[in-house]
Amino acid sequence: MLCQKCGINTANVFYKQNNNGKVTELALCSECAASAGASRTAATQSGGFFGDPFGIDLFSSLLGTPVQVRGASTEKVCPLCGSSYRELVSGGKVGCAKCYEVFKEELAPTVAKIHGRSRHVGRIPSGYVNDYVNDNEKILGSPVKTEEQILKERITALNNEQKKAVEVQNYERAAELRDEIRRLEGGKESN
Amino acid sequence: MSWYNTKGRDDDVVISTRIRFARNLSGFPFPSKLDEPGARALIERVSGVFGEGWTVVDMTNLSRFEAASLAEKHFISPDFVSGSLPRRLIYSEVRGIYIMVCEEDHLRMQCILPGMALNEAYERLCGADDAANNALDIAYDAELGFLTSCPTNLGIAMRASVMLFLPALTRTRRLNSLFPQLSKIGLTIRGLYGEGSDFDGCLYQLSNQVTLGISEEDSIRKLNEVVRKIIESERAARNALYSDNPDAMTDRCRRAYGTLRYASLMSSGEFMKLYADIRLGISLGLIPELTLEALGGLMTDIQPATLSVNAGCEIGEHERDRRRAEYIRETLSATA
Ligand SMILES: [Zn+2]
Ligand SMILES: [Zn+2]
Repeated sequence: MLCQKCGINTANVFYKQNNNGKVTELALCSECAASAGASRTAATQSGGFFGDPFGIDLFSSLLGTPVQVRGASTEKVCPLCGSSYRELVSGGKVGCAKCYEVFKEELAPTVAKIHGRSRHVGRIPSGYVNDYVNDNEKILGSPVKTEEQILKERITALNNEQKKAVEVQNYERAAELRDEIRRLEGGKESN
Repeated sequence: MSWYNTKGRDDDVVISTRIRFARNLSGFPFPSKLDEPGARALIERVSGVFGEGWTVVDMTNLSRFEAASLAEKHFISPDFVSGSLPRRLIYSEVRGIYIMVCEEDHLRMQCILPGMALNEAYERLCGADDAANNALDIAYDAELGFLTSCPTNLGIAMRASVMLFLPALTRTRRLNSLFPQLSKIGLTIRGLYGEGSDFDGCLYQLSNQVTLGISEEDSIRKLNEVVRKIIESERAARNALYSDNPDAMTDRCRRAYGTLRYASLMSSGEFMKLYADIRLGISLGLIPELTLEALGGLMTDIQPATLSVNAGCEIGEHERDRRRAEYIRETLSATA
C-alpha cells in the first residue's frame, strides 16, 4: 500500500485514532510519518481537494502520541475503474462516475466541505426525471416514492425475509412469505 | 471570425464571455483513470455525436506551439496542450463552441463569444449539450448533479466567466474592496496576464464559484447583475480619472499609442501595459485615430505561440519581440 500523504513511498507506519468512537486509520511512509509528527502545519498544507479533509481533520485528530498498529483491513475497490478510496485521496481526483456511488459515504465530508449541504438544481440529462420539484418532498424532508418503488422495495424485503426463514428451517413461514410475494408480483403484472 | 477579432457588446469593459460545461460518460473511467484504448473508444463514441458542421482536431498531431496557440486563443485550456492520452478538440467556429474530449473530464464544452454575451453563450452551449445528452449516457446523480472528475465542479458543472478590462478600478484601487464582496456572493475574480500583483494588463476573469444548489439560469442571472454594476463603476471611474488630470491622462494614452506604433522590439509584458493604455484612451476618445474594432485580435495574435504559428516555425524570444513589434506597427498604421 502506498503512503496516503505522498502517494509515492510504501506505507509502513499505520496510525489509528479513536475519536469519539469513530476510528480513523492512516497509512504513511516513515518520512511522512516523521514530518507529520514534527510539524502539523506542513501536513495541513498538503494540496488537492482531498488534501483538506486529510490535512486538517485527520491530522488534527492525531495530536498526541500516534499509536502504531499493524496491517490494514481489505480495501473496498470501485468495480468500474479499480480505484480504492486511498487512491482517490492521493490522486486528488475521483476515478469514475461509479466511484461516487461506491465511496458515497467516504466522499460525503469532502462534498459537504466544498458545497455545503446543497442538492443539485438545474439541467438534467434526458432519461432522468427531476423528482426534486415536489412540494411533499420538501415538507417531509425525504424523497417521495412512487407506488411502484414502494412495491418493489416491499418485494425485496419479503424475499430477504424468506431466505432467512429457509436458513433457519422455518419452512412454514417461508411458504407464507412466498405466497405473499407471488400475490404482490401478480398485482404488479396485472397493472 | 472568432471571439477575439469580432466586435462585442459593452466591449469597452467586457472583452469576452465564456461558459463551460463539464460532462462525463457513465461507462468510462474519468481521464485520470483511463488508458489509451479507453481514451480512443471514448473519442470514437463522442465524435459520432458531433458530425456535420463540426471540425475535429487530433491534439496529438499538433506541434507544441500549434497546441499552445489554441490555448492562447482560449479555445482550449492550458492543461489540454499536452498530455499522455489521445485528446481531441471538436469545434464549430460559427457557433463559437469548442469541445475538449479527454481533458480532466470526458467532455469540457465551452462557448466563447466577444463582449458581454452570457445569455447567448448559455443558449448556444445548451444546444450542444442537448445533442450530447441525447446521444450519450451522461453521468448524473439526482443529488450531486453532473458527476465530475473533481468534486468542486459537481452540480451544474458549469463555469460562466467574463473577461473584464478594468484599468480605472485597478488604478483607483477600488477593485481591492470589491474582491471580498464578490466571494461572499459566490463569485471569484482573478487577474490575467499579470506579472506579480500589478495586474499590468488590467484584465480580470470574473466567474461563478458555486455549482451545487444553484441552477445555471440563476447563476448566470447573478453574474449578469454583478457585471452590469462593474461596467457602470468602471465607466464612472474612467471619467473621474480623466477629469482629475485630463492632460496627464491624454499624455499617457497617446504615449502608449506612439510607442506601439513605432517600436522595433516589444516584449509581451511591455505590450500588455501599453495595450491597457490605448484601450483606455480609445474608450475615452483620446485616440481618435483608432477604434476598438481596429485593434481586432491584436492581444491574441502577439502571444508567443501564436506568433510562432504565423511565422510557420517555432521562434525564439528575440525574434518574437521583433515580429511582435512589426505586427503591432502594421495593425496600427493600417487604421490611421
Ligand atoms: Zn509518504
Ligand atoms: Zn470508480
